[in-house]
Formats: sequence, C-alpha cells, structure tokens
Amino acid sequence: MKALGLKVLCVATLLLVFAPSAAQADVSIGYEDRGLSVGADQWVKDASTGKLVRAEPGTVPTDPNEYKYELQCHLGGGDFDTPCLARQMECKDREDGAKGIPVMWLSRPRGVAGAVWAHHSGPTCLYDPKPEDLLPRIAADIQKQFQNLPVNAGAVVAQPSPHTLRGAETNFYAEAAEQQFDITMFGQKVHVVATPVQYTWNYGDGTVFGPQPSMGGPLPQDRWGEKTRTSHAYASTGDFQVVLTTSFQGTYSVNSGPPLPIPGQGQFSAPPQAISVWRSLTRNYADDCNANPQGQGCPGAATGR
Amino acid sequence: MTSQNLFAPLAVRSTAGAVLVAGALVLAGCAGGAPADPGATSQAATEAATPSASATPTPTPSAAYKPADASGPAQNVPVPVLPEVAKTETKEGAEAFTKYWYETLSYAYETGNSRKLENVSGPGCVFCKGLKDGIDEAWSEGRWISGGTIQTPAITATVESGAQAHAEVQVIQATIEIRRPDGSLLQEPTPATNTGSRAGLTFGPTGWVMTDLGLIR
Repeated sequence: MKALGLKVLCVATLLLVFAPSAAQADVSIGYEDRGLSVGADQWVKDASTGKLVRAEPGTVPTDPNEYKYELQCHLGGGDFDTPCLARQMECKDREDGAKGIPVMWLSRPRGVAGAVWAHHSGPTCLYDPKPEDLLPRIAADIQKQFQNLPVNAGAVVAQPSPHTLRGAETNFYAEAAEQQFDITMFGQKVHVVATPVQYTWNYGDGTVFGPQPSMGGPLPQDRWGEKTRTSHAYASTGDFQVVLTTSFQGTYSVNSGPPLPIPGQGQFSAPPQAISVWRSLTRNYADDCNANPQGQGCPGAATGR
Repeated sequence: MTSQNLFAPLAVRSTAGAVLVAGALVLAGCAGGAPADPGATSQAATEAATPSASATPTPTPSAAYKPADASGPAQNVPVPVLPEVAKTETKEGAEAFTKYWYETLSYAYETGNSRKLENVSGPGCVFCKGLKDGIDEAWSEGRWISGGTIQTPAITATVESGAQAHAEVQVIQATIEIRRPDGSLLQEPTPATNTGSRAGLTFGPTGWVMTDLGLIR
C-alpha cells in the first residue's frame, strides 16, 4: 500500500515538471519585471530618516507607485490644448444625468526624490461636478469601506479533525482567495480587489501564531502528525475554538481607472472552528475475552477518555 | 534661453529698436513657430541664431535616427557618450555616470548591443546581468525589440566617505514589443513602467562602475 502510494506520487511529480515546459514562457524583458524575477535587492524608504534601507525579508509587497489624474487636455490654470480637445474622449452622461469628465492618470514612484509624474493610463471618465478633489474624497473613505466589505476570511482546515491528540502536531491551514467587489462611492463605480496577504492563528488554548505570510497547506493522510509551519501541538485535552484572522491588501479602481492601493490592511476573521483534543492510552491486551469479558480491551470493559 | 541669446547682438545697434524686435521674437517663440511678422524681425533672427548654433557643436552629419517598428529594428541609434564630469568622484560625477549607465541600457534595448552596458557594470551586479541576459534573449533568433527606451528624469546621488556611493533614480521605460523576423509579436507587449531604483556605485581605477542595482518598493 505504501509502495503504491509512492509510485502515484512520482507520476504526479513528473507531470508537474513537464507541464510548464510545454507552453513557451514569456521573455521577462521589462526593467521592473526583470529586477523582480532575478531577485534584485529591494529597498524601502525609512519613514523617520528618509534614507533607503533594505526591505526586511517577508515584507508584504505594496504598490511602490502613487497616482493622480488630470483633466484630459488640461494644460494648467484655465488653459486647454485645443487640438487635443477635438479628439477628446467622449464620456456619455450617466442614466442619472451625471456629467462625465475624461481624465488621464499619472503615476510616479514613491520614495524617489524629485520623481516626476508620467502618463500611466486613460483617459477614463469621472462623474462628479468637482472631479479635481474627487480622488482625495474617495481615498479618505476607502479604508473604512474596505474594512466593511463582506470579505470572506477563508476556511479553516485541521488535520486530523474534528478530533486530535494531545501532544501531537495538528496541521492547520487556511483556504483564502482573492475577492472582488463593486461598490459606489460619491457617485462613482469603484471596483475593489482584496488579496489575502497575512494570516494569524488563534489556536484557542492561549497560543497565537502570526501575523505571518504562510496560509499553510494540506498534508497527505499518511503524513498527519508531522510538524508544519502552521501546525500546533495542544498541551492539554479539551474542546478549543480555533480562529483564523486573515489580513487582506486591497486595490480600488474608479470607473475603470488604474488599480490604486488601499492604505493599510483589512482584517477579517473566519468563524471559529471547533477542535477536540483527546489523550491516547497505550495498553497491552492479553486477556481472553471469552474467559474474562470485563478484561481490558474486551467489549464488556468500561471505556474512558 | 532664446531671449538671452538675442539681446546681446541687438543691443549693440539701437536700444529702442532692439527692445521692439526682441519683444516680437519672444512672442513668436511663445506661439510655437507660428508665422511671425516678416521684415525687420527675420533678418535679426538669422543673425541672432548664428552664435547659438556655433556654441553647440553639431555632430557630423549622419543618417537620421529611425525608431524600431514592425518592419525592422531601430536605425542610427545615437551612441551614448560618457561626459567628462562623470569621470570624477563627486556627487555630480555619480549622477552623470548613473544617467550614462541608463543610456547604455536604453541603447542595449534598442540595438541588442550590450557591450557598453557590460563595460560599466560590475561582475557581481545581479540585476545588471539579468537585464543584459533578457535583452540578449529577446534579440536572439533574428528578433528585435521595438520600444523599451529608458528615461531617468530624477537622479539624486549621495557620495560620502565611509559609505558606498549610491543614487536614487526614477526609471521610466516605454512599452516593449519583441518582433520575430517576419514582424509578428513574440509575446504580448510589456506595458510601460515608472520605477524607483537604487544604484550602488563604486569608483575604481576605470572610474565609476554600477556594482549593486536594486528596486525601491
């Protein structure tokens, strides 16, 4: 049985090796892509000193750029580029009569002294009588909106469950996925994408693990009891409520504009998962149950936890 | 720039006339090449243009630069030149060198020739080598790159004794297309990027070298 299991595992591994080479992988050619794929050093600006310091390993990646928009064809002040206006994007007025205004999106890297704004994307339409300060209004409110979204923290899976043994490694893992939401803020259609980035396990016996970036993963049944990054060994028997709290990072996009980072993370908790921790007893049985039906291990014997 | 050069020769002749003419020229400049009032101004303009033209050395006439497209690679791409100031172990030198390094990178993207880039990149610079390898791969089998040119509008260097010299750089790269010999696309175009980088620099016997290139996140 064990040998058969190993064979199946080998076939699966071979398949995994073959799958990626079947499709031609893209050449990672862009400056930024290449830097990320070859593992170039990553630096972050220290908020207090303003100096660049190496990013701690395991830091949750955030969008390194900041964004803004300008009215399409606007040259500044009251001046507009007339030839540009002639081919300006048409924003259809919305059903509720709100007037659409085309904007161009700009971005620049945060953390670079003197960085200039450069074209990012657009034009897209905004629907507001004062589009100039719409984004700050949305930005000020987005985090509250984000935290109030019905984001699913993910399911908690324990191996073994619902019963496990005292002192044994119980493998816990989360099943959390990216989620998307469409909300309306200040009359604009705002699309929110929430991505799980960090996990905190409260094992219910006073032990809290995290926040840390691993959601863990399933173990094949013949390896249950092994220690994993997210496993836990209960020191005492009893019933425990395990709570997973997942931190999500979000982006929001206004009327199909670029995805803008939502500052901070949203914390969402999964419903508690009950687990019963039992103790195991090892006994040697030598009685003949026919001769002594009350002997240890015989059907007539008293059993206990 | 224009008005400063114009005033010098004109002032010699007649002060009153000079003010009028210069005013007209400045206006013409604002209109962005719109036809100005011909006559007295056109003569002054040609005279005034001469000294500024001789001040900037014009390169020897060569075939015009043509960016790459679906029909073929870029032609007559200007070769980057290391400016004199970039050979000094100063903040200005480090900034001029960093600008030059990105010019050689842009040149490598556009021409497939990464020799100049290699010459100013340290052997231990992982990101530098990664970029070179990516460009070599894109340009192999008769392919070429269209786009991918790089601009560095913001460079701030820190050169202090006792610490490695480094520069903060804003790196803007245009959309990149890789074309097969028949002009078709090898893969989806890589979108334009606007990235912050930290360039670790070392001043050695041959001048500045890019020794440690990283990303600001």
